[in-house]
Amino acid sequence: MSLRRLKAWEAAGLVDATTAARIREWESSHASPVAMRAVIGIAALAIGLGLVSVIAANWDAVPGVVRLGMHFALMVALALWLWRQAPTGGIAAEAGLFVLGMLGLTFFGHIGQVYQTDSPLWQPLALWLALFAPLILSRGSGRLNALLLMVVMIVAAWGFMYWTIGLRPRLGRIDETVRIVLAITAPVLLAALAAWAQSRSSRQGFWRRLAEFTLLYAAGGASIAAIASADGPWRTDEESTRLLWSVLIASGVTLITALLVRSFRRDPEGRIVGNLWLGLAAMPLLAYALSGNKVVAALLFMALWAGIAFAALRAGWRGAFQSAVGIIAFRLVLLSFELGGDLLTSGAGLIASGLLILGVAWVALKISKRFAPPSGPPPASSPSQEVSP
Amino acid sequence: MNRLHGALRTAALVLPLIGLAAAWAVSHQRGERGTDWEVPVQGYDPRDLLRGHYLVFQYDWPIEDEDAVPGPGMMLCLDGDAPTLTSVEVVPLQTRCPRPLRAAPGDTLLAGKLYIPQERAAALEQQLADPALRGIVTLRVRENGRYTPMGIRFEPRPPQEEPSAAEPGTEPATTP
Repeated sequence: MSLRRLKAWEAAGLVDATTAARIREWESSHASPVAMRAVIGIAALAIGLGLVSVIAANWDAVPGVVRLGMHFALMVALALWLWRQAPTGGIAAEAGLFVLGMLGLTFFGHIGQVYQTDSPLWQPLALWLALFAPLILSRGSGRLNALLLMVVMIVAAWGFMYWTIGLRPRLGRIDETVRIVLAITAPVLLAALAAWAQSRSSRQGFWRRLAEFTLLYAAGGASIAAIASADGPWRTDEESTRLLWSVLIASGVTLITALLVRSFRRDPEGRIVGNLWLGLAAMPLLAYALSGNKVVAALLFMALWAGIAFAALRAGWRGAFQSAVGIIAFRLVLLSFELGGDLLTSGAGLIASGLLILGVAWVALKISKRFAPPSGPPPASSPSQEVSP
Repeated sequence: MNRLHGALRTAALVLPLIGLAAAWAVSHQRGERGTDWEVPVQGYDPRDLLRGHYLVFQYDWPIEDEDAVPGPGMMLCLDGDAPTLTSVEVVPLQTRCPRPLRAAPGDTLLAGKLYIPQERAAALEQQLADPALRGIVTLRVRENGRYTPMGIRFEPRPPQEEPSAAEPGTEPATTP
């Protein structure tokens, strides 16, 4: 601290001479060499940056085994550091865990480069999940790692689907369909785990985010089912057996999730979430039964999001409510064009459609402003960001 | 109970390290084992030789039967004194032969790719497109027939082969 101000205060009579002397004495014994530390810090930063750039410039010249060894040593060091962190962790532990997960992911690619091996993407991702999911589930404390786990799981599942479809000779078999749909719906089961852990774990934030991401994924899947049901009817499709199997499995896995969420979460919000999951479980079956009509498909889609909006209203999720209202309004406008294909061909039709869009937007805006639950701290759980209609 | 919890959390931290080390060891061992074979190759589209850090090429298998194509459902039987390949035979998968070579699931025997350092990329691309040169890729083939491209070198193309190399627009051959 600057002692010049102390002299000024002493002169102005704010501090008496003995106090000023004691302050000076205390300051001199507690002085920290700020400048010295800054110099050391800058030097360390320069050396670190220099090392990084030297390594980066010669990366291709370093033997593969050494490169992999450095990559691995980095992961070991990070794991050791994480091990010494407190169980609940802070922002630093959350970031460190995320970096460790990413280093693990890139390690597979690194092995592939060094040994010239090549495998379909879903295989290293599945191995990564087997190795890192226990770690993330036991130490993740925020949305970063919840998102990482969810994204890897979804990319692995969809990659597995595309890879299996690529192996054409095997596609005719029903067990392949079963395996694909099980893989694609499996991420949904994380919601049950999150519901179980939410009341038992000290890492509330992590489990809450994980529950939101799974709900968002399932809502997306249900929306795709509703949109796809415009074609059909699925009953008479040449792929009807496979479609029926897919629908039954998707509904079954979601239903199991819904029942588990309901039994694990007894609080008011938990009941709303459980009912929402029940509704999502019914969607694939409804899509199958009602498929083949454009208007019915659009109504199904809007009913899905109306249900989500209703749940959000009761649970007090402001962002989710406004997003759902916006999505319904958007679908309504699209539907008007689908039904009146000639709306855009005449002047009067254009005016009418313009008025309709304005009307829908105005009503949606009013509803989302007037009825949206207040944005308060509890239970601030919005499965998606705000979207103004 | 608390001690058990702590032990499990530590185990969850150690598991990825052990797993990744094992994956590394397996890849390392596989990379070391196997017989090296040299296979002539050509770049299959002058605009698409390099995809990121990968050099993409098409194999020029010395196939005896000219109509045979090593497409899906087929594998190769190699003949020669390693690493010199004298001829290959295209046979259905599951055929038994002393030196088999089969594509990994989702991969093809018609084309391959090789990871290369960035600063060598431009030179390799030029050499692969040069009709006077012939690319030779070294494949390390394991006992079960799975293989890994190890490296590429170039040698002057024998004069009688030049016309076939000059054929314009070789089709990019990919199989799903």
